[in-house]
Amino acid sequence: VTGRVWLQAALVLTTFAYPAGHFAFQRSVGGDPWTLGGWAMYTVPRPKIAVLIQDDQKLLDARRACPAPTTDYVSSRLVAGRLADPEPLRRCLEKAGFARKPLWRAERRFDGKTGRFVTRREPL
Amino acid sequence: MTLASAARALIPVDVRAFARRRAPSASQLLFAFGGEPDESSARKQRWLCLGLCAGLFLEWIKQALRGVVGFAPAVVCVAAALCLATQRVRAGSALALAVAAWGVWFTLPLTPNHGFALFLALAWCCASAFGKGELEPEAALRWLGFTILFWAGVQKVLYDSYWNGSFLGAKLASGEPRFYWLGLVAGTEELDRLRRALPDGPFSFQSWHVLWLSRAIPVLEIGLSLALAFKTWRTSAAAASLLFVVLVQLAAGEMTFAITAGALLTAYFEEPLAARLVKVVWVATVGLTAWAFLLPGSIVN
Repeated sequence: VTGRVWLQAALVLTTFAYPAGHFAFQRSVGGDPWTLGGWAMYTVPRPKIAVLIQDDQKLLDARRACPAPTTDYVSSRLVAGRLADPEPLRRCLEKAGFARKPLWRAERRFDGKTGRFVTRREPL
Repeated sequence: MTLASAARALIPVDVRAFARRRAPSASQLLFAFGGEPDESSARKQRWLCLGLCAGLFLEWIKQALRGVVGFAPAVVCVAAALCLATQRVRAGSALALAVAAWGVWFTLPLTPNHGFALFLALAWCCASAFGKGELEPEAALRWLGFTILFWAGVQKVLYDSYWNGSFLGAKLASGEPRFYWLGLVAGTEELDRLRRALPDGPFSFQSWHVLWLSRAIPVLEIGLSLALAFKTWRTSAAAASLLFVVLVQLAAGEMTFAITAGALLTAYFEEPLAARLVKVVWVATVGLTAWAFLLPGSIVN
């Protein structure tokens, strides 16, 4: 048996086992099932994520102050859930003059079991 | 039915030949579920790779029309298809794989599933073109077709939003144009009730026919994929899977996935039918391309 055969066998097993790992990973970190393959598109509507800056009584969209870092953070949050690193975005917002303002992450997710969208706002 | 004949029906490999070998080859492992092709020709393998180029071409045409990239990747897809059509399998599969790999890299981390499917399928085509015949793309594409169909159904069950119809309910209530057809099935009363539940829900159907339509999707995905594992049902299951997947993807507006799934499931048919299906896939692709040029933005995915 050549190493190549086992490499192919590993590929076959990986393609079958990967979606199970994808489900476990996305469930544990709170990611978007539509990302990273795993054949889980159309399982639930995609979550919506926004980063907000609290400026007195107003809430500002972080995208207006730091468009690229906000997009990067939202994308990584969709893929990796709570493993996404908010530091680059936070640094950009500090440079943009929002150093002492409270930052919030607002997420709207769908719960398939209850059929409801749940919106949560947590500190970034 | 004896145990041996039951095993033969379920696992379509020659069990005695299998036992004589020291260890199963990768191809045999693939065949255990996807199904061993009775006979495989180099020409059929070329047809299968050619079908995949259609999905890849449509994907890049869409990206070009959205202004994300130029038309160069789509032109490379046509070049790959021409290479495959003129028996330059290595050049054709390598070109197609290069474009598919770039597509995955370009869209990471939000790569759509058809991007991964095309990349995997073309990687297998390429590995077989450059290999020593250990892995035929036909078996690999069958395996991939089975895996996608099976897991698409299981994931829907795991996320628990099809048995109560909540996914389709939420989509219908949101007023997405591509789910307009579902409103016609559900009826005005159901539609009004769902819209009253906006923005947060709960979204669930009361009319049994829409609820059972929602339930039928994962049931058919899992059922048809398992039927593909049985040799005696394989051809009918492949035909039913092809029809089902293409209909579902068209209903969801996922044109590229419909074309990709059509090309993948072609691997289950005899060469003359597979060749005809690949031609149909290309005609559909050219038609969708013309549609995309004439009505920009009308093709969602």
